[in-house]
Amino acid sequence: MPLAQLASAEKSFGSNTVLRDINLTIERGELIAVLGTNGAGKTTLLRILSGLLGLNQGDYLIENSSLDRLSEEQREKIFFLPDFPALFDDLTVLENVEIWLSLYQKSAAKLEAESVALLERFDLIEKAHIPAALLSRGQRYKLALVLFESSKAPLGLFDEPFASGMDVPGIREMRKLLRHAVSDQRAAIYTTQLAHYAREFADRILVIHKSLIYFDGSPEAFASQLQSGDQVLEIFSESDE
Amino acid sequence: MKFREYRHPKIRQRIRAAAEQWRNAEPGRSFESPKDSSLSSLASKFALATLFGLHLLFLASAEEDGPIFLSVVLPVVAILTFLRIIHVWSSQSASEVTYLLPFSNKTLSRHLQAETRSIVCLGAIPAFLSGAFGASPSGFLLGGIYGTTVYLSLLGCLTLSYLWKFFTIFTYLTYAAFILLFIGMIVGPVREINLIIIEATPWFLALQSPVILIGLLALGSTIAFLTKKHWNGVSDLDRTSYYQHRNPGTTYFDDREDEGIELIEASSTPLSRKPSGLFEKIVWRLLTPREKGLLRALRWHENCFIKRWLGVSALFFATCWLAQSPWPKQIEAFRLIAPFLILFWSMISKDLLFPPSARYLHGTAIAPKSLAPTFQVLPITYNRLEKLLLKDGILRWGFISLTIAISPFFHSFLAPTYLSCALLFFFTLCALTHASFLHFNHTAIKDWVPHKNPEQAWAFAIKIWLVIGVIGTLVMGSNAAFIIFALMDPDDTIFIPGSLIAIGSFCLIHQLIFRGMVKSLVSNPRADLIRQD
Repeated sequence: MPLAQLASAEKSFGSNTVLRDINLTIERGELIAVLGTNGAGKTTLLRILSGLLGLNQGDYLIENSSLDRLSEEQREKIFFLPDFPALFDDLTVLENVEIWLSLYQKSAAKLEAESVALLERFDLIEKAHIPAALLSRGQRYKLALVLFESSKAPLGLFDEPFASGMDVPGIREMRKLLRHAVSDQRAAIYTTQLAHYAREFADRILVIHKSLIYFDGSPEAFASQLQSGDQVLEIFSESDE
Repeated sequence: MKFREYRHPKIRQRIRAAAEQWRNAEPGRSFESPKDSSLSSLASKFALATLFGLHLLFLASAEEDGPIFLSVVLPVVAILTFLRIIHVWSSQSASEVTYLLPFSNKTLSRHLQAETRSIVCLGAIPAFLSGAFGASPSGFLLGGIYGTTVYLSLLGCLTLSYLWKFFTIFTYLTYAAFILLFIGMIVGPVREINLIIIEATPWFLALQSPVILIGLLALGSTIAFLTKKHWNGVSDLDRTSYYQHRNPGTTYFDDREDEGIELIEASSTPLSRKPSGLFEKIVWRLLTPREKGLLRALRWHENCFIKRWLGVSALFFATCWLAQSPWPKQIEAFRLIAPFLILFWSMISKDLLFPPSARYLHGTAIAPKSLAPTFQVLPITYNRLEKLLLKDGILRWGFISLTIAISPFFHSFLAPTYLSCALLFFFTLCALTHASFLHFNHTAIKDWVPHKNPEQAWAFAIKIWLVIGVIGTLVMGSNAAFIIFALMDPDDTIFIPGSLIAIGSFCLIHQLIFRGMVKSLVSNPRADLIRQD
């Protein structure tokens, strides 16, 4: 049973069609990179998958059930991390973890050790009692990653994690964390504009171009198509030539 | 549900290491930590409750005609105002106001508004009393002027003390002044001043009833104890902002490890601690885990509410009990009204009438706009919020109604059918108002989830609320009039103008409250939250 499925999905803002004819199946254990230029619709796709945006046409299924945006049970299966992480700013880092766990109906007591270890991994333990408002953007992103891992949401959606302001150790930990999540039969989807990240850190690459999914395949297939001189994928070539 | 994070060895270890590193980097450096306000807050609450009790006692002890309100109300309102300022200053504004005063007019304005409301509320009590007695309303005026002067002087001194970095010294000086004033009120020069101003004072009469005095002291300390947790609330943000402003590049727990941990524990207690008392546990059991998390996110101080309400109830019943003893004819009306005055005062000046969740929702406590994205990404729905907040309202007003309903057992002499029914009606109305408010205000939360016409829903909510407010004011006013006239001797015409003043103040305050709420609703920029999808 697929974890999530978009069928013939279309999304417009007024007369501007941002995504059309999107057919996408997300299985558990998949790490997917969504590649696209500015304004291609990557974030819109994530917002649709998160349930924040509705579809103009098509269906969105979570574990074979249509997404009901007022269903807390379904929304518990999704964790969305926007480019600027949404936290409770006046609560401390630990309070955020605790409340997040409550809202995802997880036991804070059971997950305490794990959460503290995660904070330590992301170098946030010294900030444990600092209000989230005082964290830098990178630290906020790290905290949100801790929240994702603590909440154990099956589907993680991450907007531009490699441009999140995290430091190198943070990015390294994030990669480990996402790899661990998918090995735990969860799925993670992130957006990026940098092909080399997608190629080296994904099991599957989606390229969105002109409102359509232009490419959907493995990193190897992506590399092969790029080498064959694909004009669209050439956009993502980071070579100076 | 609570983490044991504050004791977690890794956190302690890191804090200790950070503190050590900081000390090694700059040996010998020390800086003052934000003042932990628990003791000062406890003292001010204790003093406040005690003084209010003494106020009652003085009134109870008066045996002769005379300008009793000028002799009692004026100093009491001044001291209450003074204490209120100290209390707010010590418990909440210590870091925030001191830190932000020179920099943020918005925050200063908010504090000034809150303080003005407090002063007005405190002033309303003697106004009510003066009115009820037909005594000079100038007591209220003078008290208000005196209180405002003290307040503004303190604010000025606070600014200066901040600018001159004499914060701690000034704190102690203020407390010293308060203690002197307190002592002086009873035996010292302040009493003499009172004696000069007024020919006869009943101060010493109070000392004739040591048992009552001790009882009131005990009551005051109980109230202070019960409420001290809540008033301990200098937030982490305040502390950290203050610290970072005063000590760039540091955080408040970088100071000393133990102190840091103590501060962390103190500042984190109100939000995340487990319910401890029986009532708290009962209430807590009525909520689902998700609701508990949500309430914490909304900073719903459920534990504080219960404790505070128990404290208010205790004071209410104690006053009823005290009122059963024979009182001089002069203050017959007061003894009848006093319990409800206390209740009314408690409701206005605290969060009972406007619980934090409600204030949050109509945008006076926390800007919903800032939280909307967070709620959007969380598995929370409008229905969940609606149920939760209605449950919250029902619980709050349920407790209040319950207390009122059983109150005849404590003051059977008070014509229970009249007062209890009237007050029960009043509280029922409040409950309905509250529920309506929550319900219609919820519509705004639909901004966080799909909603077709939020503007219309919002406008409708305001209209409904205005109608309820007007009806509530009329009903409350007529109830107050009915109660007061029913209790007064019809032949004693001196009470009539006083009663009218009392009713007037009652209605005015109520109407102001509603106007304030509606204004906050209208000015709430919820349209910004609407997502076009």
